[in-house]
Amino acid sequence: MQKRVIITLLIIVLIPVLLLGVMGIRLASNEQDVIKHQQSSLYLSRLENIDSIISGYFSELEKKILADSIYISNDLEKFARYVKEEPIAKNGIVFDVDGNRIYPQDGKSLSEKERIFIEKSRMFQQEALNESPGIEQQVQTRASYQVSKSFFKAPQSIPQPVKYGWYTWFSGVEQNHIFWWKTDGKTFGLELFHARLISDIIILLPSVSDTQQRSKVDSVGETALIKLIDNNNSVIYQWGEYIPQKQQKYSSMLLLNNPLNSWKLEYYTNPKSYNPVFNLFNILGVLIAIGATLGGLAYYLYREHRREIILGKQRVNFVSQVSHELKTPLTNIRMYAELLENQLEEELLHEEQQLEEHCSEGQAQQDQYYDADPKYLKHIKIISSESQRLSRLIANILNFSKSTKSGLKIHKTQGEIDAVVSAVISKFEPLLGAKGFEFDIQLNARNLVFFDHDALEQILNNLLSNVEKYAASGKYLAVSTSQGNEYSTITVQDKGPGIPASEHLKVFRPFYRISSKLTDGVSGTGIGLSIAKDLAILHGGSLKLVPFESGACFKLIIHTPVNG
Amino acid sequence: MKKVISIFILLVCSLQMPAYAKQISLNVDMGTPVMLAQKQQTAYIKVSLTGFEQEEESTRTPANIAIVIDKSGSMQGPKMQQAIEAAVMAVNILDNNDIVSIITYDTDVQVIVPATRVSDKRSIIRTLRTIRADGSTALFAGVSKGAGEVRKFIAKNRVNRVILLSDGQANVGPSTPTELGQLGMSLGKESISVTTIGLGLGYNEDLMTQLAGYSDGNHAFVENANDLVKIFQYEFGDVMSVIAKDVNIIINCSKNVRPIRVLGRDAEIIGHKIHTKLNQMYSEQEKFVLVEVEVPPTAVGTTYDIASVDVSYENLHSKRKDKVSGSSAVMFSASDVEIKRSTNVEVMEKAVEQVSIDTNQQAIQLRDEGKIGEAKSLLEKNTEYLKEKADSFNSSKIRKLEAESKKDAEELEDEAEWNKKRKSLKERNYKRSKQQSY
Repeated sequence: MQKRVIITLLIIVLIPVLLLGVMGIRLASNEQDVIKHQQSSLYLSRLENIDSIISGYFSELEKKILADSIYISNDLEKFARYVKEEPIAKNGIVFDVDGNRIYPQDGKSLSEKERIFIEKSRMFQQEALNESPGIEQQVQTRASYQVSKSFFKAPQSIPQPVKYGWYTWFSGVEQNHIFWWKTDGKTFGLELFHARLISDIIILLPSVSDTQQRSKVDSVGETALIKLIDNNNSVIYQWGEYIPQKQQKYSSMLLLNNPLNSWKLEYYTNPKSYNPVFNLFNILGVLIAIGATLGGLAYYLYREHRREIILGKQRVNFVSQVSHELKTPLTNIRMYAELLENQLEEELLHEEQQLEEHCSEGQAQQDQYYDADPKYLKHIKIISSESQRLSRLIANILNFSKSTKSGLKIHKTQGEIDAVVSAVISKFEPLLGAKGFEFDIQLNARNLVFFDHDALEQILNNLLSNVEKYAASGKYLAVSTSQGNEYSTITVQDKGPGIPASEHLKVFRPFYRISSKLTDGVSGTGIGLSIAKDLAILHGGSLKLVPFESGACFKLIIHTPVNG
Repeated sequence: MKKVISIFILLVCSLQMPAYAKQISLNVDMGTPVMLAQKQQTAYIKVSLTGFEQEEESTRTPANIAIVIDKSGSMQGPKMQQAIEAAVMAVNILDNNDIVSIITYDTDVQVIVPATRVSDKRSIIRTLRTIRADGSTALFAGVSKGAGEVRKFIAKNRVNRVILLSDGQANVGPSTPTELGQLGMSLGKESISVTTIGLGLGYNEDLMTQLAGYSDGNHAFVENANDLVKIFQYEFGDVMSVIAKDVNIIINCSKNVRPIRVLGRDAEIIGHKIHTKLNQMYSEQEKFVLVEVEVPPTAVGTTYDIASVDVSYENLHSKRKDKVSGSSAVMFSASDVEIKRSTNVEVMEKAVEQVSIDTNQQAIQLRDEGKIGEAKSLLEKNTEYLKEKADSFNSSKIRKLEAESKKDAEELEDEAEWNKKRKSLKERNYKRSKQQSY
């Protein structure tokens, strides 16, 4: 009993806590996903920021060269000087409308550097006459970026219309860049120092303890590391104070645009920097709070419940004690009442005999036996039957209190079922007879079997007392007994109002009383059927209400072995 | 009329050459002013420039320096300490007119002192003292950031220079000598020189000499960290004695005179025209360009113009662009005695030295390829060549070179000492080719 209560209470506490926990964790993991997503988009936006710096550099460079191109495109000497003096320019090449190379000229002997360049840039020379040399190169597609730092003193507007673009190729692992433009049918190509491009980009990128850069958006501080990685997958430049684990995968990656295509930016950061532990603690905290509240509530209920139980037990104890106390005087009352009854019966019998023998012996003699009035016998009989009833009640109560303490026991002794049944019926006969009952008794269990006489008697007492109490209107009682191999069956049937089908099981519960107008006026303890059923089960049998056309029909089956 | 003309000439002269104006002096000398007639032969032209004397310390050209210090893990200990001391010393030498920036690099780059006027030396030095060595070597990025800082205050009348100190192989970012050489080339075009100081035995001397060479900076191999301060002193001595910048030398060889090569320096030869550039000239220092030419057979007794030289430069004293010109000619004779007597031994010594350096570089390359035997025999051949020249010119200088070459050939095989030897050879060749002051 206690265990069940504790388990129930535990379930009451644990299930909501568990549910909340699961929900909390799911919520937290959702939140983590959201945070992760937000972070990765933040990382990406940082990388995009850097990409825009790099793209901005190239667009500034383009503007600068295009602005210069106005002054150098119409004079090869100027172009040659430009190639020589412009820090970023490594070599130059010019083709006329027909695709003939007009600079550097073959006529004059070429310098070593020029010869190498012409050898190296064959591919570009073949494509130079195309609309736009280069395979993936697009003409004028670079978006104009907002560049915070202007690297070149270049005009903001690009001279139009002019066609230009990048031609990038590899000689071995070395990356080569030609910036080309077309004016007046001529194609100009300017080979740029790849190392210089990288160097300039590195200058634009933040460095670790550059105080001016630190406040900028693109500074990443301690929590991250950004790597600029070239086409050979080697790190060109990196910044940020975070040191990634070996084999750690980047948190975000961005491929760069032309002309540094196949280059990329990688963002490294601590994958745990959003701290799920903190969240878990949050959830745990909430769960513990809820658990504690529910636990407190459960404990309170448990204590109330225990108090009720103790109180109930005390009451039952009290009642059984009282009943026990009542039992002794009642036994005496019964004993003396029965004694008196017997005495009176004998006296009356004796008197009648004397009356018959000495029909007219004198008035005084008549007065002497005045005491043995049949009226008194009737009174005594009522006392006796009522005290029997009272002792049945007390037996019920005592049995019930025993049954709640699991103290109810069956003591089988040899006997005849019918004897017990008829004894009980005979006890009720005067009462029921007085109410005008009609009897239909068919007793067919006369074998000697082992059974508990008291238990059977008590069961029948309860059933018949119910008939007396509730089925008086039917004025009919049928009791039949039969005997099988190991079991004996006794049915008690009346023609009273009956029990509705919905109540068939409930009537066997302790303290349960059908509430209806019929039963309202009748007193009862509500434990009779419960005890009867308990006893029947203890006796290896059952007590059931069987459907019957009218009234109630109880079928009692008890285990009655032939050999004890 | 004559008078008028002479006055005019005087006027022009005084306008062109003010009495106080100091000029770089240009000498164009032939190794053999008298050559054998009727024979195709090679000749050496030495185009030599000598800086004028810098007046006083106060009038020196302000410097714009980026000191780029390697603070990778290998620098830990006394190396780092000495490097910091050297930088502190450098900062102390500079004054309010100068601009300095200090960049350190390991795996990444830290601009610990962005380009600033050297007014608050104390705070710069305090920052320097906080440097702790750790990490890898992002040399390229370090130099780039250094160049970026220099570029912030780049000016014609300043000595724009990056001083790189490294003790290790570049292992983050571009790291080949070619890539660094290209960066040097590009920076050189902007008149930013990169001086490279290799510390210890771990650095890549090819990378360091290429970077310095293409940008016309100095190069030094400092084996012992204790010498760093001294080297920095020399370097800053150079920095502070710059008297001219952007020195463009154009040598026009005469028709029929074919330039073969320029010894020791990077130069562009297009047809008969040779172009080379010195980023700067130092006070009272001689820099020269040696050109090997092929002279066609010529008749006895003729004087033949070999080359004319035009030099233009930024004169930091007069703060304007100046030009000097010169030319040289040879006479052709049939007399061996006359030829020998007239030979300019000094020029020939330099020419022999440069040829010898050239051979030495080839030997290093062979040695790199594992052809130790070939390298050795090349050096031995060089020794022979030097011996012959020493005898022929009776030159003690060449005899020294001969002894040196002999020693080089012997030491070539020593596997254990090769790394160090290679570094000192590279440094020696570099210094001699560029006439480095220290």
